[in-house]
Amino acid sequence: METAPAIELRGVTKTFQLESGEEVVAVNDVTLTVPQGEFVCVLGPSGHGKSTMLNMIAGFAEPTAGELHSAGAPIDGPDPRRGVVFQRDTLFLWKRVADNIAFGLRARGVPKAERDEIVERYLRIIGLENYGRAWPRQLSGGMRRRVAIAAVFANEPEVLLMDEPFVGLDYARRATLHEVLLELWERSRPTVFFVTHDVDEALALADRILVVVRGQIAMEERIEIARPRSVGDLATDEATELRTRILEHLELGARSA
Amino acid sequence: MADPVSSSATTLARPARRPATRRPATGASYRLRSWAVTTLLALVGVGVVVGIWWLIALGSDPVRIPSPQIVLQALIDDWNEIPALSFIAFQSGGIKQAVGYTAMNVVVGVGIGASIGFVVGALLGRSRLARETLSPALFVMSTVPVLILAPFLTIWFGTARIVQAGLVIVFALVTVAAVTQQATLDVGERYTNYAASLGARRSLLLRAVILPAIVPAAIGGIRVAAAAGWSFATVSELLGGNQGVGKLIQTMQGLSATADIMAAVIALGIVAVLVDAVIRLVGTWVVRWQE
Ligand SMILES: Nc1ncnc2c1ncn2[C@@H]1O[C@H](COP(=O)(O)OP(=O)(O)O)[C@@H](O)[C@H]1O
Ligand SMILES: [Mg+2]
Repeated sequence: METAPAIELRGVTKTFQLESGEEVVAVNDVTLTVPQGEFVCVLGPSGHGKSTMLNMIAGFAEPTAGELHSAGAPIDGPDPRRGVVFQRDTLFLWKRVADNIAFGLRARGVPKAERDEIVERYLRIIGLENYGRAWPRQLSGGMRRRVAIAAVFANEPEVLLMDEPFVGLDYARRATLHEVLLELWERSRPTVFFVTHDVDEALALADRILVVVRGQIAMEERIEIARPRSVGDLATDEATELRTRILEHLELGARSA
Repeated sequence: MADPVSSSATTLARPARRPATRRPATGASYRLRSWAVTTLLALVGVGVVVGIWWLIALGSDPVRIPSPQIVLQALIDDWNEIPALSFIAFQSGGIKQAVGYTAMNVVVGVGIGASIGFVVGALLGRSRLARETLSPALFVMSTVPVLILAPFLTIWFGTARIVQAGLVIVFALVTVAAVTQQATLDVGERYTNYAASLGARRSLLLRAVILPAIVPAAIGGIRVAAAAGWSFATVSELLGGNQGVGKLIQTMQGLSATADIMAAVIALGIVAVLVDAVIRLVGTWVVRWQE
């Protein structure tokens, strides 16, 4: 199934039953196709269904209606072919940095010698070659995110699901993480489903931007600018106009929420 | 090939000091200093208490309130052998044997109770079915004072050692099970989802994620259980044993040997502090990844 899309949603709806008995439609009849290797950024006001969508693609949650497929096969639970990076990183605090990066490899039975070699390589790429034996608590926020990204890339997923992974970092840290992420992405070219509420982040990274409002895809834009994108690349009239359009959609969505 | 990304990342990483070289330099000396201060303060506290005790004893009948010197003398004289003890009670030896017997009941009792409690707690935390079936019964049981068990243990087992360790075991089991269950529930879906998305199966999830995540809480529970264990063990002996510090106290009370009672209690207290220190040391090492 070489040509099967990496992610495919057909009429996917997810409703939550609140304790009051009220129903919340988090994702509303979404149909979406993401071809292999595409970098998709999902923008949207908070509470509009982005994480719910990502969790279903990850296999953490089941849709109320509709179907999800990945590489031609139905999604029926978590799978190491689909790696996940969460908003607050989920590094294992009781594992040293190197063991955190090696966790997926260990889970999949990769032999120790090979594991060590891969870990070594990723530590170098993320610029933390001296931190392999450190505990996560000894790292700064930015360093921890780098480890979280390395941990998931080391597992060589075909699809990478990222849920607001860089929230709370300052501009410089975030720019560094974008570089690290794109560098790793260029090497293995996984399909990326990247949730953010930062328009500039989406513009810097995405092949395609989806704006999700009230559980539906309200807008879709392709970005053809070559990567890495400089600040100047994102200040052209075209980019500015695109940013304005996206912001208008977000604002509308936020107001009607 | 020198790629711009990793080199810029390295530049950013450099200002932060490397943990490997930093820890021994400041960390160890800081810890040593804070340890020295803590110890000094503890010694001052002990000194104050002994001083007050000594002042009170000055104006009292030594049979009612023996002075520190008398108690120390009793501790030395009766450490290995109290003749009256083997005469009246069926207990041989002196304070050493009594303290050893009680301490062993506490250590082994807490060990057994905590081990079972840990497994029960983890099971209750992981399995909703187990939780919903057992929690109400366990809750009712936990409201019943553990001491109520003592007469039953005596009726069932007579003077067997299990009677003296029974309360310790039950209390450790209940305490450790309760904190472990909560900690297991607190691990949360985020961690288990993350592990699953990296390909971890059930056994690795339990071994490498759930287990280490709940260990800190369990260690806390063990410390609480051990601290209370001394009372439970001693009271069990008072209620119906023929050995240990509790029995020694009871026997010596009949002889008005206050100094021996105090000597035994102090010796037991010192052992309790040492045992707690060992648990704490081991615990700190096990969860050295924590803040
Ligand atoms: N487990 C849940 N139970 C009930 N409601 C939920 C649950 N998860 C999400 N929701 C609701 O679904 C909607 C979408 O949430 P979410 O997908 O987290 O939004 P976003 O990621 O865009 O901020 C929100 O209204 C949220 O309250
Ligand atoms: Mg979200």
